[in-house]
Amino acid sequence: MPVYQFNSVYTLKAPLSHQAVDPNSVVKKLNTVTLRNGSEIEQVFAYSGNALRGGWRDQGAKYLLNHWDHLKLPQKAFNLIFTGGNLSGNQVVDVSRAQAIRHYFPLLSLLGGAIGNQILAGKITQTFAYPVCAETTAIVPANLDPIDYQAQKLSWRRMTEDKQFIRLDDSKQTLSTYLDKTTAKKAKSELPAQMLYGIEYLIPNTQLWHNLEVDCTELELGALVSCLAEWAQAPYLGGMSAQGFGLCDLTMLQETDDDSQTPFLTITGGKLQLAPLAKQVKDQYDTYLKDIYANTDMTQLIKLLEGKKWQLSL
Amino acid sequence: MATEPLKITAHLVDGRINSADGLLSFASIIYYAWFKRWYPEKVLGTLKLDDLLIGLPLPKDQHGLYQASVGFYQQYAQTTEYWNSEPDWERGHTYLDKDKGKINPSVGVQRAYHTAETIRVISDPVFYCRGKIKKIPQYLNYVKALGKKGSVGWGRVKSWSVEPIAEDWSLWSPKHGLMRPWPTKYQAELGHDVSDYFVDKTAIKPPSWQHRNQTLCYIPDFIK
Repeated sequence: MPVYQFNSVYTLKAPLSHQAVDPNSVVKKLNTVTLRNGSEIEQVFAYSGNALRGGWRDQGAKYLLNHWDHLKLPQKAFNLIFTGGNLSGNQVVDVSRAQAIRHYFPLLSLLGGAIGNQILAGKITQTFAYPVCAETTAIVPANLDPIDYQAQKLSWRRMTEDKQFIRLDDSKQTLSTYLDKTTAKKAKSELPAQMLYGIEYLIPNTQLWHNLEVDCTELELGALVSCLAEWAQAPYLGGMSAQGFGLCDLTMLQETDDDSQTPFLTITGGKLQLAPLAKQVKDQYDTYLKDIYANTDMTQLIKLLEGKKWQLSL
Repeated sequence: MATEPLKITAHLVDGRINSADGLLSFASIIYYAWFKRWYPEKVLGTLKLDDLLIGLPLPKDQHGLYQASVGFYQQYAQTTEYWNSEPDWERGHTYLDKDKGKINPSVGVQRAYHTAETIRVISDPVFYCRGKIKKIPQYLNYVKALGKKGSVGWGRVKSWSVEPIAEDWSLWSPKHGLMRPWPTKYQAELGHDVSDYFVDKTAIKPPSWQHRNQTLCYIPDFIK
């Protein structure tokens, strides 16, 4: 099976919010990890590989089901397609089901999942996405055109800001005129239910580097491109996109055998551009999805996903 | 061609591996690579093999144990990181086949997870074995990550280097002492005092998850 290696550069066009889980804190700090940069130990912001993969899975699932006329799924199949499923019992090896799933669902074959009581291994190996900064000089490759290496003079801590948000209790403000009389009277006597909260974010124009290796078929590579094509319609990383966070551009470069980099896919201002290989595998994937939809019993496909008895030819 | 003593180094991208016990068995690494090379369908779950003769490019000792050490490294930090999985709240109304009902993220098929993992920040781990210098790199090309969950981003290997060395350090070395888990029942055969080593039940050969491959062993001091 061919091995494809990609270096991706995300350039933030808006602040990025990707916080560590800390329910006790009013100010949510950026997610950091401890890593080794050459011989130095650093604590650096990192965008989790699990978050990236989860995003691809969501987008790829949407793409797939939209191509199958917005197919509706029962809960178990829905969970498998959108989140990778979970194990329910002692593990078994069901070779024919694994073969069928890898055949009919290149997306699941690529990203893996748990079907009933069987784990289906995915085919990707990746890194977290790290900011291009002084603390990652030995991690980020030195030869990537889209990267502005001037940023390596700065610590990532100089690429962050804090922002406070206020949630006002509108019943205590001018909008209270829209309350009915009884509620307005009651509202006056109550303490305002308001909230002040803050987040730490990465500033716009920060660049994140990410490395991905996939050992997969062309159809599965097409499934990966489909995830990114769907994501290109709303290219946001992290949370709080409703408040204006997370918009970014992406340049994905394919590393070739002689260590040179050739463009594979770019998303600039929400516009997707595919290099010949990316276009070819995506077209192949699209045709494949159409063929399956035209020639396959969808109820059997759903049974396959649910871990029930199924009847399909391979 | 005869085997020779080798020193192998895994050059990590960011020095972070996901491993609870920190033991990185070189025999297990080669075992995985062997399947990736000859029977990738087995790794994918699409092929069932019974009574398979596995021919790893590592010689065995008189007990049938591979002559390969665990990874030795310096550990700079040990942290806990989490990965999350939660129901896809946003798309249920579009792609679920029911018009009503509740999704329970605490139990059942849409259970949410917040899973802790032990992450070690380490130097490039070094392994020792007996093997053929031409063959070992061919297998290592299939190994892209060390430890658990390379698909999430932990343990990514940038490159491997393999070099011949003068002495065989696969079992014992003057620098580190014991080099791989050694069954307590074979203590007398070792010819060294191992009474100070930690004793635990662990795998003596791959696949390490199989109960029949696990026994009480002296554990090497693999963290410098």
